[in-house]
Parts: sequence; structure tokens; C-alpha cells
Amino acid sequence: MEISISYEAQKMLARKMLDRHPGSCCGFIFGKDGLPRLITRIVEAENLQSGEEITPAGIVNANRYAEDEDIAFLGTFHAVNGHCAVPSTQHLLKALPGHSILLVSFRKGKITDIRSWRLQSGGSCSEEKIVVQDALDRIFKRT
Amino acid sequence: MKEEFIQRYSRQLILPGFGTEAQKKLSASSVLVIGAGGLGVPVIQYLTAAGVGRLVVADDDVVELHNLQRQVLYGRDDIGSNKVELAARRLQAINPHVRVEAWPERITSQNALSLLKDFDLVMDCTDNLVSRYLINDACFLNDVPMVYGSLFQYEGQLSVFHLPLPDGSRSPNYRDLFPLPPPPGQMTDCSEGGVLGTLPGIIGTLMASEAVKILARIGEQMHSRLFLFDALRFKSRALRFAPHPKNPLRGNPPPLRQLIDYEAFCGISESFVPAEEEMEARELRDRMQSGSKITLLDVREPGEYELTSIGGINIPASQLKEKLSLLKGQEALILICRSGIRSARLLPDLKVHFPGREIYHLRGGLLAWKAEVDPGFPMY
Repeated sequence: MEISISYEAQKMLARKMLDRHPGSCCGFIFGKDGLPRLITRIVEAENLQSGEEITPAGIVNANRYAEDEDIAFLGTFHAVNGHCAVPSTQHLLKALPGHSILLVSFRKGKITDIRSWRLQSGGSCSEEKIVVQDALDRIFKRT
Repeated sequence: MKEEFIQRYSRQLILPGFGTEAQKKLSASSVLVIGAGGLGVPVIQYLTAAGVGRLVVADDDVVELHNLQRQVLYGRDDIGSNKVELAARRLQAINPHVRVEAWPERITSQNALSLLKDFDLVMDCTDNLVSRYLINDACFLNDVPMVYGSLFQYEGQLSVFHLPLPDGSRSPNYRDLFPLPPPPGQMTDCSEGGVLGTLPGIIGTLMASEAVKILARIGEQMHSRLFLFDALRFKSRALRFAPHPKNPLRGNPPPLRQLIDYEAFCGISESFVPAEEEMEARELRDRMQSGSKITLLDVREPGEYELTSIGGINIPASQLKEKLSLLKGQEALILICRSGIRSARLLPDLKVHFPGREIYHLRGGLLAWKAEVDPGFPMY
């Protein structure tokens, strides 16, 4: 399994991370579901309280957004300060089968790790190879 | 075959796919269990009962009262006694055919490579990141497979690392999951975060189950996957993970070819709060007694505050952002928690939110208060 992030989506993600820095942020990823899966759009979750909450209502809205925009709802992203890029049970419990969970770990203004995971039916989850990430690394770099 | 052998192991000897061949492999195997605490207790009991050949238990801890909630091999009369020596005696009573050895010592960078060699399997039953990276690297360098388990609050994890695979390679390891430790100040262990008493029993038993399968060479092992269990919601997940390009044990040659100073690597020895923003317990006592205007902010969970406190406002760390308005004022603000970890972590954000205000955290937390100011202060 592979997932690719378009240059535009990388810029969107980097911008959201910069806006929230040094806090964390999360939201939804959209694009084309194929081989590889391609992320073309990043939308931050609304009404964030803690800055890292994906709510059921948010997922319903993201589904609607995907239908309205005629785009595939691919999953969620979480950009987390200091944490590892491995999903917690909380990330997994909130994800839907087939969804990707894109995790960006950063520390002291630099990305330290970026990994993507896909939840399968039955509760298992596999790591997806990320094909492109150079632009994100380049844009989100604050020292 | 001796009658006792058949009687003792009959319930696994008759298992489809197990039989005498698997039992003989198990009985010829040697296992090192590092940690005789929450995870270690079920692991050593089940491996002894299953009939491994040699079982070495390493830990330099003594039994303390707060262990008894989950470490069910020990009792009240054992408090103050060395865990591994007690454990060895009790394991020998369970199964005298297993060669049980007690190593009352801590695994360090200096002794790990020599201690870990000559074992078929290592069980990581420790409770801290420093030991986890050390054991992972030492097992990798010694080519020994290991079973990893960890616990936090209501959640447990388990995986098998460095297992020889059919293609001649070894399965991914801890550094493929976590190439870097979390920043200093973000590490929280069970003494700070708590742990459900039954969880070590669940995860430890699963670890022992994986060990039996590896040693007896049966079934499918939990390698290249991380098992996650949430006891609060009764949910489990398995993450399939791949070798990580930033794993320093990978490469030709790999960047990491010998054990390092793991305390420095995990940032344990470095202070992440400037000294001028820390307040010693005695200084806090003096300021409280002098009647100077201060606000004590206890950032522990309400259940902890209810157990024991030195007063002040209780706003748990998780709710602080929403309740900052309660802290308005000019008087000095002193953050308190159990050990000084949570309070230190919150300090930078509060400094940003209340610029110019005197804000400190109590160095060493309430544990330091008990040690330096009030020995009779009840602590957990």
C-alpha cells in the first residue's frame, strides 16, 4: 500500500502546522483513491477544543464535504508536537475501515517523522509507504 | 518418557500441533526475563509452568506496598525483600524441573551484551524507555529475539522483535516503531500516570503465550505488528509496521553498532526547565509560612488531589487550557504535581499566557515535599 501527497496538499498541511505551532493540529485528508492513494486536499477539523480532536460529527461533515466536492474522503491527519508517528488506540478507534491515518511528528519546529497507516476491516492496521514528502519537510522548518 | 513429564504437561502435549516435539524444544530453551514487576510476574509464572529449560529473572527492585495491586506473586510479608529472589523460590515450587536463576541486578549498557548472550529469547518486562531502547539494541546486537510489552493507564502494547524470518532477515524492532524517544518531560510512566491492576496480567500473559510459541516453534508470532489493547473500552487493534528508514540499527553499515548512554539518549539526565523557574520544596514551605501572596496550582487529576494535597486550586493538566481564566491575578503562581514532571511540562505555556508573572513549578513535586519538608505527608 502506498500513499502520495500532492505538492499543494503538502503546502496546505505545512501552513496549518505553522498556524498552530507549537501546538498540534488535526483534520481530514481528501483526494483520489487509487494505487497509490493520492492526497490532494487537507481540511483542518473545526471547533477544535484541544487542537487534536476528531469528532463523529466532524467525520459526518467530512463525508458530506467529499460528496459535495466530488472527491474521495481518504482519512485523517494528526500533526503532533513531540509524539511518535504511531497511531494510538484512540486514533484507531476513531478511524473507519479503509481510512488512512497520516501522522506527522514534529519537534522544535522540525518534522521528525511522517508515517501513514491504513485501517482494515477486522481492526487490523497496516503502514502505508509514503511516496512524496519533500515539500512538507521544506516548508515546515522553523528553528 | 517419565510419568511426571506426561502428567505435568499433558494438557499442552495433547494440543493439536504441539505434542512432545514442541515440549522438548520448550524444555531445552533458555529465557531471560528482564523485570519482575507487573509484566514480569505473569510472564515468569506461565513460562515456568509451561516448562522452559532455563529461566533467568533480572531485576534489582524490592517489593513495595504499591506493587501489590498488580504484582500478584508477592504479599504483604514480602515488602522490602528482593523481588527476584522471592520469585525464584516461588517459581521453583511451581515447577522444580525448570532451572530458575535470580539476577538481582539492573541491566545497563556496561553489562547488557554479556548478560543477554546465550539466551534463546529475551522478555522485556521493564517499565521505562531507557531500558526499552537498551534491551532492544542489545538484543539486536546479540541476534536474540525478544518479546516486548508495555503498559500505560488502561492501555497495553505487545510485539515481537528481531525474530529470524524465512528470508534470513530479522523482523522489525522497537526503533522501527519509535526511532526517537519522546522529548524530556513528555515521558510518563505508571508511577505518574497509573495503571489498571489487571492490565499487566492480560498483556503479560499474552507475552508468555508468544514466548511459548517462539520457543516451541509453533503458530504465527506477533512480529512486524504491534498489538494494542484498550481495557477501558475492551478494544484491540493490531498495527502492521515496516522497517523504518531512520532506524539507526539499519543500513550497511548501520550508524549504531554498539550500546550507547541511554539515559542521555532519552534526555533523562537533562533538565528541561531552567533552574530559575523551579522552586525547591523548602523554599515553598518558607513562602507559605511567611504569608506571601502565592497561588498553588495542583495539576494532578482530581482523584489524586482527593487522596492527598497541600492545598491550592486543583485544575488537572488536561483542563488547564479551558480554565486559565481562574488563574488571573498578579500573585506568584506555583505549579504542583506528584513528581514535578507534569508541572514542568505545563510551565512554558503558562509563561506565555501570563507574561511577566512570577511562575514556578515545584521541583520534584509532592514526592520532594514529603522527602524534604514533611516526612509524614501521605504519598502514593
